[in-house]
Amino acid sequence: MSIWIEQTSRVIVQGITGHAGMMHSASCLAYGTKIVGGVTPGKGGEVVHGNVPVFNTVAEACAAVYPDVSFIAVPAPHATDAILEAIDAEIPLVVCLTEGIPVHDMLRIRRCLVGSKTRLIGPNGPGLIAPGKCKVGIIPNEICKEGSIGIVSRSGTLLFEAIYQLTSLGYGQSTCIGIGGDPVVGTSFTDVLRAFNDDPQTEVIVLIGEIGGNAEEVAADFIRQHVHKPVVGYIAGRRTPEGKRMGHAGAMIAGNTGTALSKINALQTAGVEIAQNVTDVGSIVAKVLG
Amino acid sequence: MNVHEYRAKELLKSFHISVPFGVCIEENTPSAIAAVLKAFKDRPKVAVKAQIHAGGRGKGHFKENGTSGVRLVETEYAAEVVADMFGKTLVTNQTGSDGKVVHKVYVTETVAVAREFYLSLLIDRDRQCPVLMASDSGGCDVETVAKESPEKVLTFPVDPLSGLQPFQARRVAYLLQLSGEAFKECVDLVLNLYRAFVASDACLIEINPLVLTKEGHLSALDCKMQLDDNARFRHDNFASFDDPNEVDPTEAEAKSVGIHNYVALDGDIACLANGAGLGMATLDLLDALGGKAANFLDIGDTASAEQIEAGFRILLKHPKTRGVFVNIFGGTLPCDRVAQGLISAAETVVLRVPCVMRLMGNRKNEGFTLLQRSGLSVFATEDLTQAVETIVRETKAAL
Repeated sequence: MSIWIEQTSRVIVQGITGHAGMMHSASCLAYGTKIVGGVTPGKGGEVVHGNVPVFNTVAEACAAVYPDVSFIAVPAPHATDAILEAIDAEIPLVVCLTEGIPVHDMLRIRRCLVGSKTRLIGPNGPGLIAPGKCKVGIIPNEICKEGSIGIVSRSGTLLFEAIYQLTSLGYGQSTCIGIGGDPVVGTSFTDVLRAFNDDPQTEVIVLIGEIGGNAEEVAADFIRQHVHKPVVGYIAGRRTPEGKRMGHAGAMIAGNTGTALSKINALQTAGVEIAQNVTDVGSIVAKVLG
Repeated sequence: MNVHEYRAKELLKSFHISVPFGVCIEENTPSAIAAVLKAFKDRPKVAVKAQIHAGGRGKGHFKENGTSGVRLVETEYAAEVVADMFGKTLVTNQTGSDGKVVHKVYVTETVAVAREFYLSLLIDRDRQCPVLMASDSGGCDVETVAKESPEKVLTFPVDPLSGLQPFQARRVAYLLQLSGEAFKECVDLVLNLYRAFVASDACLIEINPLVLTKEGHLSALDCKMQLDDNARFRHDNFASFDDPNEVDPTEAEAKSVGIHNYVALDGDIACLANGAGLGMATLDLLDALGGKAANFLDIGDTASAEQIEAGFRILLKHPKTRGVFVNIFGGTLPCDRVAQGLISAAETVVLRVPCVMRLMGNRKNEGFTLLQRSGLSVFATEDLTQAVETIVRETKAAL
């Protein structure tokens, strides 16, 4: 079993008629994802991709096509509203790719998620894929292969890099998830680790972190206490100078916290096998699998 | 994005937070300086404060003459002191050893200080909420105070949905041992500060020191403010906070073509990658294999052909560039668009330095074909380790 999405997942795309929405939904459809509808205010009644109905509101889409996943591909100025609309409609899984959502909005969204029926993945990430079953996001179709490795990454391109290495070595993946590069995101490493730990298909977990914040340290703590599967880790940003924002708003070392070293130490102490370079992720997984 | 002290104080003032009267001088001419100082002629002393995007100015020093970036002077000598700060390089514990050149000087009234406090609001990413910090030990480094005597620092989270409540503001006023009018002023100030924090999409507002004047009023003597660049779309005034003097010229050029992630570093290999994580991993790998990055340009996953070409031009003409390294894992971004970007850029800026391109993912083979046909001397591969080894070796060989 994969985590959070599967072959039967029914997906709507908020912002489906926009450029990004059309492009990404086409790629997901090509992968076999069941896209049952789209939402764009003012475009209700239209049909895209041959047979995908467009609705004006998420509530209308829910009443008509019963989605259990919403894929949000709308620009930052409208993304907060789109996420809150999906939470309001009690959609179990919301995947938001949008880069540039103001952090105050994300703080409010985080609070709205508490006690809601929704899990949010992202924003500012590539989404997730259960190879061979379903894709919600922009992870390239051709680099994935079905198998038993669960991968979670803050960065999108590093997620691609890890998937590619594993597939090249013949190791398939159960689910690959990008949680997003922003300082405040909906789903944490720990949330994903817990799900992989409970997922019978997943045998090895790969965690790709980066400098900034303490999400990796918290994840290390969780691994030490709860995870009974082998974990391989890589942390980007060992050579990043303090105080520089490295593209991801979340990737910044402040004072002595958030350094790669502190994260690597925490993960190693928790028994995680660390890949020193990103190019070593595949071979370390191979080593762990013996 | 950082905001100058004088602009931050204007913003505080618009939220009814009291700040000392002050005027910023942006032009180093005797007439401009005299015009501003006229407003202070009835005051015996003024504070003259260099405006740079870094803290520690009072304890910092000018490279040229060793004087401080914040000076209390008699008003009759102020013009001289102001003129003297312009164009000089201020080094503080936050600027690095290069320091920052002063282009603006802020003159304010002096305040008779009875007590100094610390007050800030910031976004705590670990707790995922706003946090208020207050201390009755103002004027010094709050992190040191927090470490050495944590009981002196009050820290509490604020619920982003309900906002900062009066009971929380009262906790601050009690901590600062205020009474009477000053107590009420403090409660209002804290509530107003939170309003300013949310309404301005701030990531940090730090008032250090917040002072109780001898007359018994509160006043924000200094203010450090960072606003969220992501919120630019809903704040027309954000553009007015930008100071081109404070931005690395290459970064400014990148921004002008819509590339928002440029980081200047101190090596000699210019790096271009699609994605911040991949970029950081690239820098690590370069370093591990003996190279050093001059900078890092993240073109993201949606860059247009024109943006990529402009990005390459920026890197190629950068004086520190001794080699160019490209690392692309195309998800949405087609690799041939990146290859074409380099080819087009090389038509206007000669490719004099070694260049290695690692292409993977979306349309990588089309990218390789384009490069091969271009006749440019570019080593292209899909193997990341080989690519990094090659650029490190060739850059060294070309020195």
